[in-house]
Amino acid sequence: MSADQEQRTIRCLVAKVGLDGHDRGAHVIARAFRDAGFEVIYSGLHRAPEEIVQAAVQEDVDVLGISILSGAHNTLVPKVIEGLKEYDAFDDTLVLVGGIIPDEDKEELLELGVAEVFGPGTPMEETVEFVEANAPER
Amino acid sequence: MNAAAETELVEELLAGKHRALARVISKVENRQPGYRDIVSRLHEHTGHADVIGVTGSPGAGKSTLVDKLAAHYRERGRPSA
Repeated sequence: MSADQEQRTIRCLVAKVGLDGHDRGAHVIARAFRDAGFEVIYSGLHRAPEEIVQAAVQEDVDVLGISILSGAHNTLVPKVIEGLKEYDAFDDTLVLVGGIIPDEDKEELLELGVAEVFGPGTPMEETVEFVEANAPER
Repeated sequence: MNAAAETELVEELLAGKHRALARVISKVENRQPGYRDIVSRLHEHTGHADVIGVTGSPGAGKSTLVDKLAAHYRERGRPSA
């Protein structure tokens, strides 16, 4: 729209959903996003999908990055997406999933509305550039 | 931000949408262009509330009382914050 739009800081919520207790990856992403100049909120461990939805809606984030290493992505991600839709927040939130996601599940997540799935070993610049290129316009 | 988008945001906020409220708070906090217009348009919708103050010694039960009052008012169909 106008020039000031480009200078807007991108707000991200880095979220850990479910019982999976490993957040080293989420921490690394959170720091990389911070270093890239984004505003970052980290949810902390063991959040319910509903809590993540509330945080994403209330914090008015542009990007929601969900880190899942437990294999429960097919249960948890749809719940988060449904919740975002309920609050009319899905259309202008970039939803990313990171962690251990088998290739055969990736397609399903993308169809659900996840913008991209990042697996182990993804270069940090790739994730940051993806967010910069795809963060929703407001 | 253009006027049409502003109007939409204000309308959504008045309709009670959480996302719109969050968006407005971000805009005001960051003093994004047009935030004054939004505030002035919302201002006309304020001022009808009764404000109740609660004071007391630490541990006296202020928060407990306020929680109960809010729940009670809501039960009677009066929105409270």
